[in-house]
Amino acid sequence: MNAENTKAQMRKGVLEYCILAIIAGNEIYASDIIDKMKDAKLLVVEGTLYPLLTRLKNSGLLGYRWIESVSGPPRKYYTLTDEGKEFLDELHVTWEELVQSVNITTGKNSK
Amino acid sequence: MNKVINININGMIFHIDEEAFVVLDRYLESLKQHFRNNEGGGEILADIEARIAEMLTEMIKDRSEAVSMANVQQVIVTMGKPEDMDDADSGSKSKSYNWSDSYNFNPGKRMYRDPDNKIIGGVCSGMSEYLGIDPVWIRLLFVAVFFGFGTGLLIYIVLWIIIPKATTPSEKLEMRGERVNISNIEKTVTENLDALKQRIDKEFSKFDKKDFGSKANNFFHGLFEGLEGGLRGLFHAFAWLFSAIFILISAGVIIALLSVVFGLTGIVGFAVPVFFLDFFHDAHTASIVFILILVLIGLPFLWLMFRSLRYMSGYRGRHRNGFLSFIWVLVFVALLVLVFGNSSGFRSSYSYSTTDVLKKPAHDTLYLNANGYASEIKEFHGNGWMDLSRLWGRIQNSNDTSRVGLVSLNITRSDDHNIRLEKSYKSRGKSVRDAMTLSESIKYNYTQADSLLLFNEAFRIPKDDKWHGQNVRLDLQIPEGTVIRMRRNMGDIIYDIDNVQDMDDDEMPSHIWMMKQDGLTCLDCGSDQHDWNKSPVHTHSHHNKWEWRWNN
Repeated sequence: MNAENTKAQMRKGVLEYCILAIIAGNEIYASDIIDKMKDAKLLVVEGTLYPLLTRLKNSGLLGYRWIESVSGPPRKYYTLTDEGKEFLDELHVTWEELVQSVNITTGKNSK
Repeated sequence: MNKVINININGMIFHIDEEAFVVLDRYLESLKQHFRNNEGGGEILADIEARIAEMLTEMIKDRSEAVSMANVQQVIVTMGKPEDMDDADSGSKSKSYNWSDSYNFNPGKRMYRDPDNKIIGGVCSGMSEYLGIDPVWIRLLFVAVFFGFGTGLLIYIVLWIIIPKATTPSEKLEMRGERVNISNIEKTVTENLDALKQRIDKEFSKFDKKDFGSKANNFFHGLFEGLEGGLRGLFHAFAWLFSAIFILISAGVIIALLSVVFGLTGIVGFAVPVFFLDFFHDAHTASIVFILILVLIGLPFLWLMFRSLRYMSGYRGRHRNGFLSFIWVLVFVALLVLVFGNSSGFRSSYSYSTTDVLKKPAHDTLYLNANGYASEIKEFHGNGWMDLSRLWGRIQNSNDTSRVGLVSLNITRSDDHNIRLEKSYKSRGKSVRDAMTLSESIKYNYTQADSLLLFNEAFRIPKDDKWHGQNVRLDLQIPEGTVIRMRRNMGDIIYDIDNVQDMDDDEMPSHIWMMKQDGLTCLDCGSDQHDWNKSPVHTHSHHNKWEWRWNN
């Protein structure tokens, strides 16, 4: 049993949720998503993000548009679709439940 | 002296060190391999490339500066190995980044012509890179061989033509055999570089950091550049000519092979050479092996023909040799299995012999005759071709109690006054015991009626016994003074009989022989063995009389 393995699994589970949450705030550029996630220490290598974004986009949760940039080629800016918003709302609920469950089972329920 | 290359990533131009380029190129290639089967793989790659371009832009503030190996390594560390990018929870092998083990990749050294240090065609400089010695020594050697034997020039030109020029950065690195630092390569070879070129346009900036040197040097460069062009043109002309010749030869061989398999016997098709049958258990194996051998010979010619046609037509698409090679290997393996399986039955051998003491005839003359099916048997053991359907049909549907083979007969001098016939039975088999059983089941008969010896031309094998090279050799031992007369059909079974005249087996039956001190001697050959007219009259008539008696 590898602790690293388990940690990575846990991190991957919340990754989608966090990405959707970040995008929900505003129309956002992929590199800025990376910055935010790195700040939150959710991302080890940047490469992980791109397959995820593509998958979320292909399943209809995300949309993007090209916006001209002053310093280089046009950039992809991501937004949540309506479906994505509903999905995120569900995840919010699930997450709350999960946190509660975990707190109860690990005895951290100090409330 | 590192070269600098211009590349275009996501619409942005970067100067990049040659070695750094190779690493980046391989990294992108490994990503491409990794995401090849992903839905939207192309899009993922495009996003990653855009990000790489962005990172490089941030690193290289001064746009005239070249991207270094350190930059590329940093990009790769930040972006991560392909296997760490999987978002699906497939076991998730999150290894720590142990760069050192997967980092060093040696592409292997290959010999190329070195265009950067060339004097004529870059052959010597390329060889020196390969051998790791100063090019001066190789050049001196070539000059020495040129003056010494005059062949140096020829060798040089041949090498010039066959050694490829190192054009791309990867090739140059391969030429030098330098270790290229690289991580996570799923495909270590650069064969897919072509496809990658669609996305990364690379052009070589011609600014060698090397000084081009004096005017004289420039002059020679120009001269030899022209010469190289001319030679290449000549080479292509020759290649075209050879392609045409190859096509003709290949087509000829293939047609010949096909006609061997089909055409020869007309209606039914297949035919195999008869001598082949002696080496195999049964006709089926022999025929299949024969056909496989033809295929084995034919396929490379087919390949050669295709390649030549492709060359002449100027088509430069992807080579598809895999299929033919695969079939060839398959046929080869099948052949090996068949031949080894077959030859295991021939591994051991066993022989034994029995000797009969024959009754002495009233006179000193022995008359030898043979009967049987020699001509038919010879179809199965000898030269020529056998129609497959006939062969298989004959052996499968035969009502004969046994298969047959030809005996061979030798005549030697007896040690005493007795006439003897020594019969040696021999067979091969999987084991000695097997060979013994097979040799003991061989049946052979002859009959004696006073001075007449009647040999069966054939020995017999039980129908169920496999063919394992069974044979019967007869040795007729006669005392000195015995006269031998043979019917013409004895020619089918006598084999390599030593005689004073050194006459061939085929001609021996038409003469009268006597065993003398120094061996079997021809009585009616005279001093000149071709001159029948000189033969004594009485011998001649005697001979006729003998013939007459036998023909009735």
